[in-house]
Amino acid sequence: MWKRLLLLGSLSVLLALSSAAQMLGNLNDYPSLGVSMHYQVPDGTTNEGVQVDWKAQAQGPPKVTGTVQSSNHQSITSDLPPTVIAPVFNQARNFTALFHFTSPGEPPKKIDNEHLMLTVSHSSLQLQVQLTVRRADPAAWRAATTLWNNLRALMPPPGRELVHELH
Amino acid sequence: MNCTRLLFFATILLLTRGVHGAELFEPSSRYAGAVFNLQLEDKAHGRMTLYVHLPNRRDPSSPKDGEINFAQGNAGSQIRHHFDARQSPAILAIISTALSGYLLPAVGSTPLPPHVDRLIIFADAGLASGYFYFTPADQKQWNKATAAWNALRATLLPDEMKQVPAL
Repeated sequence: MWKRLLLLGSLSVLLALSSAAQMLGNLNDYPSLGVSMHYQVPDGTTNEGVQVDWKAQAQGPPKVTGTVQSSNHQSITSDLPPTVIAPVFNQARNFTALFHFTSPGEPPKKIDNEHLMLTVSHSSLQLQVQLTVRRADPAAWRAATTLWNNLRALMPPPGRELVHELH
Repeated sequence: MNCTRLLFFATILLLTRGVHGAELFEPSSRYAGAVFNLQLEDKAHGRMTLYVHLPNRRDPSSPKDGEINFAQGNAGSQIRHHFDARQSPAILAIISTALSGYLLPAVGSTPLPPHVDRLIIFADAGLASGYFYFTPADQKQWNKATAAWNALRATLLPDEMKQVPAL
């Protein structure tokens, strides 16, 4: 009888350890995903940022947060519904697919320091992408401002008001 | 007589095409030409980098020729290959092709193990710049990136090519 109890006890300890290891494995597999954008004003003096972060939790559903940073470095982070991450990631996907160099035949344009920069990082997919676009490239700029405005719209007030809507 | 005329017109045509090709690539004056880095990190070769610099033809201080450097590990440049600026459009096209339609992995993609082979392309040309990660997990994009590596390798002299592995 005692032997049976000991065997059952050992089995349950082994199962618990295995479950914990699995959870830890999942955590290592899905540590985090970040999608962020930064906007730099034309004179290059200040910039604003919006960022969506997805992080796996040891228990419960993944945590998704949105962070907004104003040009004077004021920053507000809010919890977002976990369902927002897939559409955000898909929008970032669509944006990177549009990346191109300006047509070589186009006449040169005078450009300033204004730019929008997208960064996407997902360590378990061994991924980091960062790209910068400028207003002088209208198609890329339009796509970038659309993504920026969508990210901004996800942020609950008052954080949303810390950054400008871009056109 | 006819042959001489044909030869004359053919020469004029070739010269015109050469000049036209050189004019095609006009990076923004903001940049000293264009810069591309292709960094390979794999188990077979360690870390290897091809650095490409395209000259800015409007900047008198910019070198007249383009340059491709190759480095392995932490050692400095092992190859310094200079090329005629008229090759710039062709080299820009190689990188453009590799990056066109770049897609992040789809939502729900299988996580990759750490230290997976990867090729990172950094591009800074004209109005756009960016980092793009490629792994063999996405075979289609990996093939495009390695094709760019191989095409740049093919522009080297035979003795130089021997030092740069084909992918």
